[in-house]
Amino acid sequence: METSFLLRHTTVGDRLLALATLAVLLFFALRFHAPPGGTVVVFVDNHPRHTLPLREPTRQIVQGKLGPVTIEIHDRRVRLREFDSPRMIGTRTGWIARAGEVAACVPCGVHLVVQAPPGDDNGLDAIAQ
Amino acid sequence: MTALSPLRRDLLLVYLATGAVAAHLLEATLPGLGPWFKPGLANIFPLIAFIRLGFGAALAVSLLRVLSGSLILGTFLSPTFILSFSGAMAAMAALAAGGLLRPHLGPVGLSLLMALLHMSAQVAVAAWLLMGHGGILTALPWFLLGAWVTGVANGFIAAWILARLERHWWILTHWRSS
Repeated sequence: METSFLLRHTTVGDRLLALATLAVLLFFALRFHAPPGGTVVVFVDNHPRHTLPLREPTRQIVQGKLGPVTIEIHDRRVRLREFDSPRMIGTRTGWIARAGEVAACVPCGVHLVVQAPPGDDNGLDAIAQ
Repeated sequence: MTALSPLRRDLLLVYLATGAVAAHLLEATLPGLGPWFKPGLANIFPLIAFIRLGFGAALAVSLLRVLSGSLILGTFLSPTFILSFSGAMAAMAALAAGGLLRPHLGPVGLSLLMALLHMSAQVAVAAWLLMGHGGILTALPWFLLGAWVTGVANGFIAAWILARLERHWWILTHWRSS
C-alpha cells in the first residue's frame, strides 16, 4: 500500500486519533499482567457450579444450554470445549492459566474464571472488580 | 455534491443495507482469527451511509443488518443477537459523537471509533449482562488492539469505496431509465 494512499485518505485528526488510541491500548495491554491462577470456577447460567484446582489434571463435563461442555485441566491450564455453539468462541479461546482470565461460551451459558491462589492478588484491577 | 432524489436515496440505502447483511453473513461463516476477533466488515456500510446520507440512514442500515442477519442465522433474541445489537448501537453512538468532529475526522477516524466502541460494548454486555462479573475486562485491552487494527483497515476500505462512489455520483443523480 502506497504511503500517498494512506495520507490521501486520512485527515490529521484521523492520524492523531489512531496514534493516541494505539498508545493508550498498548500501555494498558502491557501494563497489567495477572499472576498464575490457582483454581478455576465453572459458572453455569451465571451461578458458580464447581471450583477446581489447576494443579490436578481433570476432565469434567457440565450441561450447557446447547449441549455438554467439557472442562479440561492440564499442566496448570484450563480450557473449555463446546459440543455445539454458533461461533465456538469458548473453544477458540484455548488454554487459560492466569488469574482473571475468562473462557466463555455465552450461548451455552457456561464460562470459566481463573482465580489466583488463596492469599495472592487476584490479578483484576479496580475497574475490573 | 448534487442531492439524490428520495427514490435514489432510498435505493442507495437499500444497496448499503444489503451489503451490510451480506458482510454480516460472510463474517458469521468465516473461520475465526481468534476469540472475539472479527473483521467488522459490516461496519463499513453504516459508515458510508453516514457520510453520504446522514445519521438516520446509518442507523437504518445498522438496524436492518442486525435484525436481518440474526433472522437469517436463526439467532434472533439469543445472546448472540444481544451482543450483536449492543455492538451495533455502540458503533452508532460512536458515529454520532465522531460526526460532531467532522470534517476533522474522516472515514478512518470514524471507523476506528466505531470499532473500539463496538468491541467495548460487546465485552461490557458479555461481562455484566450475560456473565454477571467483570473478569473478562482483564483481556479488554487485547480485544481493543484487535479492534484497532480492523477499525483502521475498514476505514481505508470505506474511504476507497467513498472515493469510487464520488466518481460515479453523477450517474446516481442524473441517470434516467429509457
